[in-house]
Amino acid sequence: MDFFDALHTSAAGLSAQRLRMNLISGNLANAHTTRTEEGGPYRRREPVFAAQTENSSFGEILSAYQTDMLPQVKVIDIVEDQSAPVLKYDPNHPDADERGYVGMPNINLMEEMVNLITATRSYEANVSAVKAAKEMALKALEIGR
Amino acid sequence: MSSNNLFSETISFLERSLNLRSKRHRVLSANIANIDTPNYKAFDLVLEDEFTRAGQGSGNIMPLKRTHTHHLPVTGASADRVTLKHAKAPEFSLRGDGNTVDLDKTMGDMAENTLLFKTAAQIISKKFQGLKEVIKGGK
Repeated sequence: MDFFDALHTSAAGLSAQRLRMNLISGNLANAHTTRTEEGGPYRRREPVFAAQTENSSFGEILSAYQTDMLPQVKVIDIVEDQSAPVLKYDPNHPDADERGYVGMPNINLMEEMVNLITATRSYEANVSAVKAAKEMALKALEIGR
Repeated sequence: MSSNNLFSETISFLERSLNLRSKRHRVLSANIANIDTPNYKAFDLVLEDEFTRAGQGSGNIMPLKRTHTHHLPVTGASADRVTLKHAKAPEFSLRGDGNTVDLDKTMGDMAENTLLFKTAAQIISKKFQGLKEVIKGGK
């Protein structure tokens, strides 16, 4: 059923964008976190999106190849930003080094906000796709009524 | 009188239209879901091509027969098979990630597709209503 496949595809898009929004919220919330479990300041996280068919076995991939190869979106990894922490002079901070500098997370508020808006818009686009699929399916159900 | 005469070609044609439009919706949904996927190339399903291909008729194509359930599926000659194309990439794109999904175009295509699907469904529905009316003798 194409409608259900379409709904699954859109749902994958929704969940990927939601995860991205969660990560951005985490980045914003931790913009001043200097201690983490791994040690050192917080590092900003970012999802890696990949287009992937949901099939795994050889047979499934083959039949997907023979029909059509529409990929869903999937978050395959969450990467941490490896850039150096921003040094801020604050000798009274408990995490300051002997010279009085504190390593702060390298988080750019503007960048995070722009990403947040992009994620919201992409999410909305997926919602529209879900709505359209639902409308079409309901209209099809009305045939013969 | 064959049922083909009664229903003429309208219903089978509209049925194919509904089928293709739901497929196209799936293609467009996949594009939207992958709007932020780096290096994703947008797909499209050109319905006009599919209709002309269906119009040419697959009568002279001999379908392959599967004689065992474990044989590989043969979908080549099936009427259900559609050809996906890569959509034309936007001419001027400032995106540096190699993604060719044009959100505005996709949403526009989706709105158009949804409307035309509803139109086809409406026509089928009316067709059946008319038949019902005739069967009941206008009572």
